Amino acid sequence: MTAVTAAQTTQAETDPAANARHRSMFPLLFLTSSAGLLLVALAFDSGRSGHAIATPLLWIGLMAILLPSALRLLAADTPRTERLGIVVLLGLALYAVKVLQSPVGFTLHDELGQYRSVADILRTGKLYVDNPLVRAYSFYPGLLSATAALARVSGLDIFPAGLIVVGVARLLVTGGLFLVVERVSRSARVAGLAVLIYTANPNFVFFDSQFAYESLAIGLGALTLLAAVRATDRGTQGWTDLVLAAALDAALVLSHHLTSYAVALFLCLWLILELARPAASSRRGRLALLALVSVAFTGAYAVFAYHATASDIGGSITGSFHGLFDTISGRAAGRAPFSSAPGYTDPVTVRVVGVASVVLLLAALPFGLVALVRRRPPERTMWILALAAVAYPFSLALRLSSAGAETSNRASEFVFLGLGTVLAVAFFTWLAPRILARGRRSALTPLVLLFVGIVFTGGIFVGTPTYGLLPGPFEVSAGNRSIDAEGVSAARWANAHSTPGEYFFADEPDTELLTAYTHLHPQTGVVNGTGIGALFLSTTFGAFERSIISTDKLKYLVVDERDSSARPRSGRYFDSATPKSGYPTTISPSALAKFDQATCLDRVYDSGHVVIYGTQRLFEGCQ
Amino acid sequence: MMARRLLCVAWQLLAGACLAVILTTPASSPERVAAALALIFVLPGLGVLEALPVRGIRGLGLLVLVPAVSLAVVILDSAALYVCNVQLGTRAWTVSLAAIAVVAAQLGILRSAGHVRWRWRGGRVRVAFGGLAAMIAGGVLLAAAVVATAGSASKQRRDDRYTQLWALPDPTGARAATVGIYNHEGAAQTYVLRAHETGRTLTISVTIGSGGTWSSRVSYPAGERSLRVNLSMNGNPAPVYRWVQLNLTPPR
Repeated sequence: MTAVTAAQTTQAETDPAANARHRSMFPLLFLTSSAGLLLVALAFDSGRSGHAIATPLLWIGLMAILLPSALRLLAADTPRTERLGIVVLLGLALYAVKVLQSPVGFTLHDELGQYRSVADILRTGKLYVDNPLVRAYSFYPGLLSATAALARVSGLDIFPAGLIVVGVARLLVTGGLFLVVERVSRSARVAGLAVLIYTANPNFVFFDSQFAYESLAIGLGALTLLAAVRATDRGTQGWTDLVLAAALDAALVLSHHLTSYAVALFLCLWLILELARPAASSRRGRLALLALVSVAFTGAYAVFAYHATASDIGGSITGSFHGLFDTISGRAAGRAPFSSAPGYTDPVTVRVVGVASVVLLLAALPFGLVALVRRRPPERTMWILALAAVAYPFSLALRLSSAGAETSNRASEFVFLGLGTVLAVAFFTWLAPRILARGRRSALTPLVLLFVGIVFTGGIFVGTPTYGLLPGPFEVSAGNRSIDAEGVSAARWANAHSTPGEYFFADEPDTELLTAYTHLHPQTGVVNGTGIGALFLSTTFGAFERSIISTDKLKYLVVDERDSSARPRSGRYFDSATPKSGYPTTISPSALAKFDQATCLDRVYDSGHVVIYGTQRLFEGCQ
Repeated sequence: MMARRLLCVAWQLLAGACLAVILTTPASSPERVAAALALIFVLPGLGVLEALPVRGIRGLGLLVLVPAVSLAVVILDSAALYVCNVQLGTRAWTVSLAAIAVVAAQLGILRSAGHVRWRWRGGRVRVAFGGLAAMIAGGVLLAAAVVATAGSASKQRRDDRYTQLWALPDPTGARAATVGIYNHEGAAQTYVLRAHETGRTLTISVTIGSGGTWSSRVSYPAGERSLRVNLSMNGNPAPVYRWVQLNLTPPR
């Protein structure tokens, strides 16, 4: 298999007769992907047992999934249909990695929050039941209603139903992005390589595989763009695609805020670019109609869901820019890239590979843009993708502030579509021809595979904390590592023995668990200017602690005694009011044990590490 | 043209069959799960694409487009049902999705059959004999991955051994409390439960199977200030393994 120039590709890509002459490598790739998944499963098995071999096994397994697919996508003689099959297989295999990591239940913050909303739909038969963890979840019921429908109609539990829906969504993401880029670039080879680079975005393997609204929305967004591109093409039945695009966009608007904004922005930019040149009126007319419909849908729904959306992303976006401004102006200390929470440091290899991946992408970007400008693509949409690619360095700048890291992470799903396309164009029209012209054909493929491997590995390091890569023993406030059977059992007990709608306070993981599996409401934030976490941090139980309980109407205090064993890996013990400099020490064991001596509290539950206190007697006047 | 129409009729019959299976078979049965998957991820999309045929997408492209359109239909259908104040449940989703699939396929039949240009034989991934062997081997490896994961995940669950002890005051205000034990130790356990009231101790020995539960109502005399329940394992009263405490008449 060798890489060749774009000019040599078209017949092998699209001609069915040419396709038929080529032996499909898809079964072999299915085999290597399966072998990679087996290695990943063994890595997770080793991780659960605490063996050091887990980490190398994981990376060997991931490379076994990625590199053979990359090799085949770079080859000149790969038929177009096989390319599509490869990117779909790659997407699903990487989704399976996440499933193998957490095979018995949801473990991430967003997953547990959305679980609550699906349970609320199944319980009430209504949409828009207030979600106490993140208000925006219930206002974007696309994933929720699809999962609830599957769970109710099939009789499956929410967890398997959610896994199936997100698996289908993953099919839409890779398949949809391939079809869009293929249509826009008019090359299946560019599309295949663009999707391959897209899988290296920091969120692809874990964050975008979780049971969360964005996982479905990206796929719907890709299919909306595909229908839009088809609708504006001359010579096709444009109106049917137009209706399809509008329907997909409406479903998207009901599914996720940021993705629907990105699609509306894409359509508007496209319309502006089309208006700037002579074009067939029907093309402009269809595009204008679609952009208008998209903006109307998105705008109207943004108004409807304004408060919920603003509370979810508003603070994060404004905080990002304020943080960046403060860092640049010297008012605040910058955030060291690849830094962990106070008390923890990432291994040197993680930092080196993470930085290398960013540097490689930044170095390749100018070449991609130059190659694109020289190629003068007829499709205006290519320039919008180039604009998205240009946004990549700016999204990295946001990482210099603590508040901006999340925004930068969220932006990567959109930015990498442009980045992947631009770099793919550069590869096929600039890099490959030059290297082949110098007679260094044998160097080309290893070089590109090395690039893809580093960018993919570094992307995972950038987007996922190291403690979240492998399953293993319990760790304090460490995302999926803090969700264990004992915590789930405590939540299920609370669901069976509490009154719906009552309030509780717990550390972050138990807050997520009790919110997901009960009908209780968590309390967060501050009371009289002090973070509610002070209730657990103080070593005495006095008037101040009582005032927090009464002000926040807390009926249950859920204490995980393991919180006193280590500082939180995520930097946060509780869902809000984390000190700016983090927690200097662990929570004192005596601070967590103080509730045992409080005569007005009942110690109603004990499972070893998790203890639940009832506060009912305080509300009955106990002093 | 006739084949096209027959295909539309087949989608309609399939939607009807799914409807019947879902409404008549028990939850989570294999046939119901299969019918639900078809009704949510396939049939609405097929129906809509019969009514609104798109040219130039076939083979694997359809594999992507059909579930996308199906999911869009499910999401919009759910929103529409909600707006119409219809309770979202098995019957509502099943009937509405089957109806959409049937009506859309009917629209496809009513449309001029000449507008439908799907070529079902084009663009498929060719699987030769060697390829088939590789696919089968891949399937075996996947199954091995699943078995390895299931084994290690269940082992981790088994390793997470603990006992839940709980006590709740009687909600009616009667002088009694309910005490319960959940055994997650991975094996049958003999617990010794000692309920300490002022001046006397009630001792109960109970054996609970793995994954089993036990609960009992403990009454206490008027004027009792607190009820502390200690739980010990292996039939021995010490050491205390879990404890809970209810403050019955705390000072005001």
